[in-house]
Amino acid sequence: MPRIGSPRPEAPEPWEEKSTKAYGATAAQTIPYRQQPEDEPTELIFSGPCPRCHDPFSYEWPLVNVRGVESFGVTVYCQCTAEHPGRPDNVDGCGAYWNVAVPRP
Amino acid sequence: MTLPAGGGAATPNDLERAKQARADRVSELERVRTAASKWQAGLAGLLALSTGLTVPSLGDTIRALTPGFGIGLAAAAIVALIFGIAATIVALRASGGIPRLVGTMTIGSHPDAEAAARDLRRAINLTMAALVVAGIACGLTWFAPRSEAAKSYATVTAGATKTCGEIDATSVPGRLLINDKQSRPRRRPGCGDLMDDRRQVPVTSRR
Repeated sequence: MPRIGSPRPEAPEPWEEKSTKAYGATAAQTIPYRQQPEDEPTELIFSGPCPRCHDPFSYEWPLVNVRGVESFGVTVYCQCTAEHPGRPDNVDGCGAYWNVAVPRP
Repeated sequence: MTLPAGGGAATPNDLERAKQARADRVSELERVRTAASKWQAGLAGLLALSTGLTVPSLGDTIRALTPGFGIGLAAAAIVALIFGIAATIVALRASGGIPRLVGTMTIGSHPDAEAAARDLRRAINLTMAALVVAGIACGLTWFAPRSEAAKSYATVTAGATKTCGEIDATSVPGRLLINDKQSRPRRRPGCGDLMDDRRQVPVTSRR
């Protein structure tokens, strides 16, 4: 398991869509979020290093959608723009994803 | 900035749902605008239908009604027109938006999508209001009492028979057509105590 705040490894992590308990636990300590807008928020903005690849990323989680899937809970997936071998076209991130517990605004 | 209360592993289903929620956010404005343009066509059709029923010969109808109902019909027509124009403008704004500069750092444009959805609801409500008022105008056109003041009545005595009714425009020299559009005689304000009738009465021309 990578240490919190550890520098990015020299060799980029290969792209792989996976989730572990450790990703969520690490993210809960290293990736803060803010509500946007602050009054009557419509989305949560998570910003911090990915617990897998350690690249910084920003992730917007829609709290409400006009005519769409209503969201429950918060699932975050890495949206870094660093190179990750094997990553499909038109996709960002290293493939890591996890859940975090956020109080409902 | 706040840290989450905790975290854990997510399932592939969680991931798919998250991707869908974010994709919906990106496309919500486009979807609302598409829905608004379809509604706009429908609302325009409804408005055309309602105005098509009321506008032709509206002026003649207003003049033919008793003053109170004539004013009511004119007012209803004006209010329906105002509602219809407002609905059209708001529906246009919902489907096309107002050009302005936007930031590029947010996914989709949720405030714009919310505004477009709000405009669409307003346009629908305004159109419904326009239809209701146009319906009232239609009712007035069909059922409101006609003004009797503008009609010319004549009482003609031919022998022992007195006849009363409107003077028909198709009367020819030598014959006066007293016309009641009803099939049976009835009492008319312009005829005093006489029942009006539809018959041709010979008259003597004085030269």
